Amino acid sequence: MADAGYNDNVFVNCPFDDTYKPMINEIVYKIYRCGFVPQSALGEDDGSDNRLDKIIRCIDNCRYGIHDISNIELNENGFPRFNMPFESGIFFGAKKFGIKEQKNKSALIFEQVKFTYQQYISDLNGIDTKAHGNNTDVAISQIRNWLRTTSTRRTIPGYNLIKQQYDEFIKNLPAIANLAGVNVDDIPFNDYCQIVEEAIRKSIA
Amino acid sequence: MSKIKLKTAKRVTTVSRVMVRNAVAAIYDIDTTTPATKKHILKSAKKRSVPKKSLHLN
Repeated sequence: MADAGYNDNVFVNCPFDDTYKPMINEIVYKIYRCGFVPQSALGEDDGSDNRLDKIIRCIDNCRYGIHDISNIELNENGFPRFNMPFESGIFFGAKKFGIKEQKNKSALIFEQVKFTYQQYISDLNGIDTKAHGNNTDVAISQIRNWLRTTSTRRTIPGYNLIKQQYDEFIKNLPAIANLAGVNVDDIPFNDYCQIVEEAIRKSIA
Repeated sequence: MSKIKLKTAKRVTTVSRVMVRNAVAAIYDIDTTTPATKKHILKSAKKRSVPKKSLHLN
């Protein structure tokens, strides 16, 4: 195993609520399986640190970014969540105004139905977004293909192999979590990443 | 099969990497469908006081 650098890091800018959790888990696994490392502000746990600082540091360390701006439903108080579009704006800003390696940034923008973003964030006009239709398989396939083309790495495995290994992993996850001493229903982001790293290390050995 | 170079990140976790590695090894190293494997996992779980039910073994 090797330590990840800027060119390996993928910033995951997706909703982290319970309904989205299965998709996040799968995204994290598959980013790792493609040879990259997912990064999120959830990975940092310093209470004295400002949340926005964590996010900016994360974006600064990542060449790639997956931004799901599809979560535009109103909550019980009648407001949508703006975190994802805001963070993707920081990512775009870093690419535009950042120096050296920041200019190489590459983003995958997800929405539920193609071009609906024009209704609520028309400044993105001209950006080629991808629609996942809330279907995990579609999202994962698009992430895999995007990583393959944007990084030009030839080592990225085919979708079917990744899917097959993920299915095996998710079947084993409750037992692994229990043996490791973590609650499978509430695994912290960093612990989940560590389990994924070890499981992939085993499966590709 | 394409060979990727697995990359990792230094993270602050609530469990040690050794524990996770052992847990993964206990599950992945062995075919969980055989009785011997089941026995091995159950033994390992007992050592760590993990309830049998939570292992989801068939």
